[in-house]
Amino acid sequence: MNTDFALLLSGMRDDFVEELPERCDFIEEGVLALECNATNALDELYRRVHSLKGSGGTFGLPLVTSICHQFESFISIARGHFDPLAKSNALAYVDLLRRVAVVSDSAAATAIEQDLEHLRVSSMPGCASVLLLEPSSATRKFCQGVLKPLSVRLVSQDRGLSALELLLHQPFDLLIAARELPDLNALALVAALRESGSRNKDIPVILISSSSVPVPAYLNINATIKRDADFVATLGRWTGDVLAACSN
Amino acid sequence: MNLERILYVEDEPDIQAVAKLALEMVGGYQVLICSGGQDALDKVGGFAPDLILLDVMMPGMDGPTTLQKLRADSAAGAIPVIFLTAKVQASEVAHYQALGALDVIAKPFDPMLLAMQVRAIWERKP
Repeated sequence: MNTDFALLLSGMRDDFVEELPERCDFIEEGVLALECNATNALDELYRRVHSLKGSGGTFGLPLVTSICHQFESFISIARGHFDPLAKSNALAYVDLLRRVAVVSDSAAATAIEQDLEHLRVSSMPGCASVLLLEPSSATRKFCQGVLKPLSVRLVSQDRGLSALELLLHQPFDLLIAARELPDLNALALVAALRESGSRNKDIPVILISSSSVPVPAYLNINATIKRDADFVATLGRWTGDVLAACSN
Repeated sequence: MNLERILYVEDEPDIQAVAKLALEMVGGYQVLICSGGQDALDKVGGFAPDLILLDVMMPGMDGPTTLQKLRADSAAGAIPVIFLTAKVQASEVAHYQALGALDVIAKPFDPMLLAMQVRAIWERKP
């Protein structure tokens, strides 16, 4: 029965890829509807992209998921000022999705990933993506307060393994991580990331730790911040410095 | 009590189709799909499921609101519910469990493993 289902699932996945251009047309219509200032057009566009992301994830198509995820972030940021440039960028996301339907080999998939990264930088200039990895909700709130004025896209996680999964599939500009974490500590996570072929393998890292045990140099940790009275100020300064260095 | 009948509440047609087939073909369960919270409230009495799988993010009535309304229903109030969501940080899972969910399954799920995940959660329920 599992074999039957696997075959059926494979067929459904092929159908999904075959129908992807039609789904892209549907999303493109959503982009064009923004020109007419249709009521809730942006929400409707977001819903269509979100729907495609869910389907892509279910059929095991990480490229579709990655493009849609970034497209969703772009729509959220563009909310309120969807100008001709934003429209052009939105259509560029649709074009990337169309290319997934004709991916023939890993080189073509890599080319799409690279173009997605270029599109991220060009469509969301100055908007850095930060992954905050911290198990304490209180410390997360402190960090969120520090990062808010920096206008970054912030993603929070509280477990090492789920953060590693994210880092292997989504682009980030900075990782801020507590040293001790459930299921995979930050040093092991960074070691795995540095050895991976991920686009985040050279990502700057700020470590939150009060441990006196030294951090191995090969992990290239940019800064270690202690949980002390100066925590908030130190985190703000280091985050600003690291993100400024990234944008130069 | 054996797990035989599952009500799956999900608004995305692709996910509905894959989940129904996965639960039926791999798990051997009887599955009824509902496309939203209100649809689930309308059909839960007639189908009498042993378990409800409930998507968290749905247009209209979301998963937590649907759960709240199910709990207020004397007939369906005691049916165990598993949430499906992409938000599976420990604090988020704890929040959903505090709302009354049995557990949480991460989305996107692996269709080949979905039935096994459901079975595992069912077997460790109190």
